[in-house]
Amino acid sequence: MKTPQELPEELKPAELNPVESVLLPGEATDPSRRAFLQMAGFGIASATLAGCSRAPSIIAMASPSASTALTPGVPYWVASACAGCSSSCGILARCRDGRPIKLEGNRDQLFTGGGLCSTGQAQVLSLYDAQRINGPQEQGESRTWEQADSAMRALLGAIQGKRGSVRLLTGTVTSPSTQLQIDSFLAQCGGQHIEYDALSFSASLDANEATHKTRVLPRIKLEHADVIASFGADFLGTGYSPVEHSAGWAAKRKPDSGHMSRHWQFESILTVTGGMADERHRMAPSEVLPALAGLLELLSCYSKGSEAHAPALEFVDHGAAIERMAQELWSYRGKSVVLCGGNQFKVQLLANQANELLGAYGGVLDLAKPSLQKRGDDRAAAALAKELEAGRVDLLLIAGCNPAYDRPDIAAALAGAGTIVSFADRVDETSELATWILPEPHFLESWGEAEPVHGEWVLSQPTVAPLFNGRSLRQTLATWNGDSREDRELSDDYLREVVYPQAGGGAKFEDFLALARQRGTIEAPTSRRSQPAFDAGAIRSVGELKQDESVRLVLYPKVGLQGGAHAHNPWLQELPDPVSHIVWDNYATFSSAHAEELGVEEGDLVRLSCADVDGVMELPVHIQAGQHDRVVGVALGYGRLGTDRFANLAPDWIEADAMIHPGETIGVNAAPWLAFVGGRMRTDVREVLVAKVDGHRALACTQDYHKLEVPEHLAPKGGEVRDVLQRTVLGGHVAHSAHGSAEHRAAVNLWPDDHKRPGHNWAMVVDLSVCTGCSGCVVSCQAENNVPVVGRDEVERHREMHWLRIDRYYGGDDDSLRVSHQPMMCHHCDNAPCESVCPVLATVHSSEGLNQQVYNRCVGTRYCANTCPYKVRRFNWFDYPRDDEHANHALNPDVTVRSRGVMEKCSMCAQRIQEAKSAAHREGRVVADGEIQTACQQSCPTKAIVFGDLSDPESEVSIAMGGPRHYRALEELNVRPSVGYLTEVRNVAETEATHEG
Amino acid sequence: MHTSTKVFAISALLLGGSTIIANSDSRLMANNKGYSPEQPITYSHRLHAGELEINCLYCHYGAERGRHAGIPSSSICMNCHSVVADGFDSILMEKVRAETAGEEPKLTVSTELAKLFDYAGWNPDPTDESAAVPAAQPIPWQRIHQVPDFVYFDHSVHVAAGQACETCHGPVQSMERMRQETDLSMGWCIDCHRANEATPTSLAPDNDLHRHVSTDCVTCHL
Repeated sequence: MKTPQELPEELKPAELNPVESVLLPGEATDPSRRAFLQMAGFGIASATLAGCSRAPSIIAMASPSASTALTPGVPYWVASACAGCSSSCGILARCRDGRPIKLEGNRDQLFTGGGLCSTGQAQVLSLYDAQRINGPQEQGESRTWEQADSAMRALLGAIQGKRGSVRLLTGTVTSPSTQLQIDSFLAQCGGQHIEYDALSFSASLDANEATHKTRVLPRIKLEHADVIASFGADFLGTGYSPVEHSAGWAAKRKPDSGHMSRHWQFESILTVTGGMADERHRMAPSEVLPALAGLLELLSCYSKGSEAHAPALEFVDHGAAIERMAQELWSYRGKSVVLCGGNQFKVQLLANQANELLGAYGGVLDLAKPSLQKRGDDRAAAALAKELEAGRVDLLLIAGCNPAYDRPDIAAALAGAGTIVSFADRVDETSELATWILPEPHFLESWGEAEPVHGEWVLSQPTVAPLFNGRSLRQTLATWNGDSREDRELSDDYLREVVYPQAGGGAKFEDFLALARQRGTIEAPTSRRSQPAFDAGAIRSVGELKQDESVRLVLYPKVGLQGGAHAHNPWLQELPDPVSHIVWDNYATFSSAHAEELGVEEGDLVRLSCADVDGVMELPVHIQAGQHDRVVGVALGYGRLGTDRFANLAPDWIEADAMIHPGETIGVNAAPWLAFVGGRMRTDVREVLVAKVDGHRALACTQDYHKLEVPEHLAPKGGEVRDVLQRTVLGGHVAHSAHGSAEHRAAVNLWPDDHKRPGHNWAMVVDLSVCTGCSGCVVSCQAENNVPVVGRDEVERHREMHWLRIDRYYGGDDDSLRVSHQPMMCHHCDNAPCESVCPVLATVHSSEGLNQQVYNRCVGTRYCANTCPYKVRRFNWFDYPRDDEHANHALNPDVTVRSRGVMEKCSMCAQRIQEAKSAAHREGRVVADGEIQTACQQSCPTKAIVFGDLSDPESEVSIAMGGPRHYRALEELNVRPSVGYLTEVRNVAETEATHEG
Repeated sequence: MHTSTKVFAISALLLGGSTIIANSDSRLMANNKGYSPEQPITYSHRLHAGELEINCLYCHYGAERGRHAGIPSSSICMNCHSVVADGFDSILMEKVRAETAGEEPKLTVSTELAKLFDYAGWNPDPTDESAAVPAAQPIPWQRIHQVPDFVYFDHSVHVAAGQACETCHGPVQSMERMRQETDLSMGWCIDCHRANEATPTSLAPDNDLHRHVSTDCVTCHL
């Protein structure tokens, strides 16, 4: 047979085109039998091949007008503000071809330090949520904005005509320009604005109003705090500015300087913050008031120089610890602070007084340039509930909150409202009850600004053309007021009139604004209020203290899901809770002693009931270390309407017995168990009855090992068993900097030393001292690397796909619990066991020290996962659902989407390495240290992760690896990982044990 | 799928498979070497890149900046074609005709440029105010060069390294209709990378580390 070269010109493969029909036999030049056979043999086969193999005709369209700013395929960054919660952190959105694909912290943002939490990271997926409403709806019917506006104008006119009442209920309004429109709208119609927060800080705000005559929260500058005393305040996890507070806290947790802050935590349930404390003690919610009263008694004794005497501490289990803490606080006065969670007014008053005695105001606590991130007023919301009950509200506008779900008193009274108008972007518990839904756009689609800290503005600008037909609350209210300005103008005019003069003016406003939008932030340097004076008169008697032995229900928010506003986001649902490592559910947590007393085990169902609450909660049991024996913990944020969308998330699988069914919700809503006591919405006052019921519900937990013990024969020389996670104490570290590092086993190397690293040698170091387990990195990695969501059932089968997991290890006992977190990702071992077992060379080493996974070669033997000592390899058991076209817009186009049957794992963000190398190549230079930031590193609020080039001895990672605290996990295996850790150091006395793990 | 259809499909596959083996010189799956589809506008690279010697990067400016060379927007075409509406020959002929007839020469528009003007939303005759000018819309070019989705090819590094466009795209300046000249297969890429692989020894910029031609998998597969 002839080769293609010998074929007639028109039959060469070059001319075989499935689009054109060139192969009709009649067109052959030589109609001989031989030529026909040539065609039949080669030609038709090629046609078949070409027909099935040649890419189908692809139409490539370029925009009719070329942009000088955008080159197709070249990413660009847009500075904006995160609205995932009211913290309003500055973000940079990485965009490709007109849409955002990844959010990162803005390093120019002064107050956050450049990290971003898990909730913020996940917002890019919420943008592409297909369940968002497209345009106004009246009773479920679509309407135009003009129809909505004329209906609302008529309604407002009718209400004004009969002197009716209008109420606007919102969460904390972070945007001053929105506040301006709210004020002028309500002035016109004579209404009232009520703010409440699902995770309320009302007591703290009210206490500041009482003692400092200003209803704001202080900025907490933990970078100035040498002693932190926290009573249940989860400032690192779910506080009012966790990214900022984590960065500040971490600044004082650098043991190499020989000095660390002392962090005390007294709490009833284990929080992210509590686990990181140097000294943590369990404290029942009822003990907090006497504990603070006692602390205050001690501090006043110290200040007067009189003998320490604290009768209030008789009501507290850990009185001695509080005395030690009080001494430390006092000796570091001016650099110490008392922080309280729990939303209890009296407690916050006492904390304010303690902080005043300690000189915290003006130092650690700043009320002159305060935080404006929470403003909710529980009493105002309760008053609204009363008004609604009495039927005195004719029009209730609800924006940025979901009271039917998370505010039980208003939920019960909503039926009494005349007309409800919701500004929600989806059908939720509240908007379901509304006559009109006027959806707001996602923050990544809109203009705006926020003022999270007094005198500091974060600007938001759209990253994508609006995907849905929404309109901001600001513009809607302005329209109703007869103000025809566009949304952007409303924000810009505020910036021109209010911010620009404060920020010093100088340049032309347009130039000023352009620069500010580019940076994403504006600071008014001189804008400080005066530090308000302390009014001691606000604090009267503490009241009668009494012993309380009842079992209390403690409701808490989880990192990521927060108060439930993001329950529709699968990344956050599948994010392992940093404390329990359980996903896709809430559950009742018990201490082990309490569970034993009740005769329940992990996963057993219990029924919680309470005299004052209708209904019961049936939840599976989770036994939680470090929890108080008289406390049952239940997470808020679950049981959201519409979460049954995840029922069919897991792949169809013949044996699958789905745990979530259509019509059900994920978890149970615990918000009805909140209690309005003493003028604030309390999370920890319900007395609860626990009854065991029949049944068991296995929890999907990503970590069921809490301690790792090295087998005898693998133990290092001398028989010392070494923890995978090393920890020590500050005293020991200062005396001997490698303290806590076990002796390394002298390794016999079976491998030739032939790993040449002529160029880069990528490596990573994680500082375990400052890893709080906050999990921002986990979601960041998921967003960057197209990591699929697998659903509850698959996680239960341990088939979660996260490339980066955080292992959590407990140290000490329930009463002195210390939690250590160890981020675990592919270690890119030089002697990688996975590489030697792969029969098809699907995982091989790069010349730059990366362990490469080649998806196209992988045949799915899973030998590599079996042999990996760090258990970081993930196998695609299925093609995980990618059928949501909207959600697929969040995929990173730089990373391959893996299909069924292949192994995958952390690539150390090889795409970012390639991108930086390409940029350096184009510019004819070498890659600078710090130029490449892996996704996990970028999002870390405490900068625990360092990535870089070991070939450069001056690089940050080389210096960290050469430091005394550096060690490698499971070093005795001699796999020579490229990922190292810095021994965790806690600031406790050396007498305490170091190797509890 | 019907059973009979399945049987047919399987037999077709088997037949096709055996033909592949029989024709060892035939192209591999997904090899589109020689692909040269008809385009919505019969644009000639021979004229523009060959005869007129317009630099490739003038239109495909993305090749210097990032991953994709890019298909030019019609606004790029209009940079020149706002003043060029027809071939030189036609213009000359019209001039001769007009002179002979003693008239002012009329504006002539070539058939292909008329298509471009339609796409670009351009009225070539500013004197004709009655002409309906459609809104600009993208030209549906048939894409020719394409590597699979799991390949991350970056034009800019190759341009920066001084690789000529012809190395991969062939003699474009002589192609009347664009076609894929090379097979763009992995082996073809690797051959070139192997031939140019340098072994840098330090990080100093002068020793060309940044021009290290790598054969690491993660260079292209991310």
